[in-house]
Amino acid sequence: MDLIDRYVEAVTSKLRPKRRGEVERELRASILDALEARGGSAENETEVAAVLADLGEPSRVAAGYEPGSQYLIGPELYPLFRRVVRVTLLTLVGASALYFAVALLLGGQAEFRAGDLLRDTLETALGAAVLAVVVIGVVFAWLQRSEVEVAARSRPGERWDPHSLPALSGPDRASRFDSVVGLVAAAIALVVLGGIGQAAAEALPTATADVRPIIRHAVLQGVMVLQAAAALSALAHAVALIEGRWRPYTRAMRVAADALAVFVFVRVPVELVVHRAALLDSDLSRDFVLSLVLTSIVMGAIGVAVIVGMSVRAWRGRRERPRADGGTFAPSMAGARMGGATRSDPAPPPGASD
Amino acid sequence: MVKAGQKAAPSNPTDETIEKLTLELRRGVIVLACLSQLDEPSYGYELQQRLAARGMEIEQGTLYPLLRRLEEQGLLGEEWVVEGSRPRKYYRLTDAGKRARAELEEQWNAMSAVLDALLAP
Repeated sequence: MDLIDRYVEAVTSKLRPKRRGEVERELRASILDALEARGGSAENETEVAAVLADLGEPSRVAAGYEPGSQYLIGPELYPLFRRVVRVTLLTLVGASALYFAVALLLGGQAEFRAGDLLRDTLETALGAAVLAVVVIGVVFAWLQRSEVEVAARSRPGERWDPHSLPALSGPDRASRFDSVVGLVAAAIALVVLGGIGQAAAEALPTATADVRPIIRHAVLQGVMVLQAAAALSALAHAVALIEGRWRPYTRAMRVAADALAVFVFVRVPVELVVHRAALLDSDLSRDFVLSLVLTSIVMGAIGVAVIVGMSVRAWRGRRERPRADGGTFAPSMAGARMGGATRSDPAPPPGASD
Repeated sequence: MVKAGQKAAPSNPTDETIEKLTLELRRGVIVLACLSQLDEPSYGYELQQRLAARGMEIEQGTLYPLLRRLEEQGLLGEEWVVEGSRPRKYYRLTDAGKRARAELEEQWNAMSAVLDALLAP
């Protein structure tokens, strides 16, 4: 049944949620009909593969159920796009509010007026929001195109191999939402880090000799390590997105990127706070030093929280979703009735028994 | 004669071109073919086999989504029926489907007559 489960999921995962239940029932019934007509069994993988190959590539079948996919971001991806944009913008609002609050709390000096600070924070947040939406749009347009390419990979008449189906949802399955969020976050981080690195590099020549090593070690090196971590993370998420699952090497890349990032997120604020007095006594402007310290603390706290949160989520997911092997598509006759099923009936496909 | 700088057209259409044109030609008649066979309720695989036996081969991956779209358009009704150990989804023409089939049949006959005349040597 594994191939049938994978096939059905590969098709229905590309459909709108309200369609999935009914299409799943219909597909399973049709696959079993075709198997029965051939005198085959759902336990015989070769026979199942032959039936699925006749049925066609999942992307093509799904496209038949959801016609009109010539979009920059098609209907099957749009809900995910909306979700990613919403989460990203909410995160930006939260980060900006946190930055503003911490800055107000710690930087009560005259030159650090609340009005200016609010204006700066809003400008930065707006710029970051526009950048985020653009990056997310580009990633989704690419995703949409790659889906179309996948759908167009096999031509009519060409034999499609069902064994190329992705694994069922499980601990190794890469969630498209998580992968896209990871990819977007890494892209934004690369851009923002580039800006921070440039600002620090520009400030370096004006700094006194005793401050230069602090900026060089704490900021510039930290930025470079974070950029490497972001690039590694982006690569891991992109590969996982394409392959549809996490493999040991992509998982290792992600862990390495997370470890690098956590190291920097902790090290930079600590180093800046420790050397705060030296920085304030230097020729650097007080605003710059304060914002540097605050930014490092806020970014460090958010970075560590996000990484820890995602790791906990992934760990919980691995514990709670042992479905890849066990299978929760348990057949049940509970939903079977004469002409009683409706389009929104969420009952599992009865008769999917072997 | 092909002038300088003018791209020469292939002398023969490629297999791929023929395949695409054939697909487009078939796409227009598949709906009528399906509607023609659904006076009596029929499930997807059965319908596909019946059409194939009469010379109309339709891929399952094309037929099942099409049946669902026709159902959403109100041309087909559906009913899950349990037979033996499994349920099957039966489709049948609705009144709207019967009217659509009659209209399409009329259109087809008219087009067919025109094309017969056009293609006659």
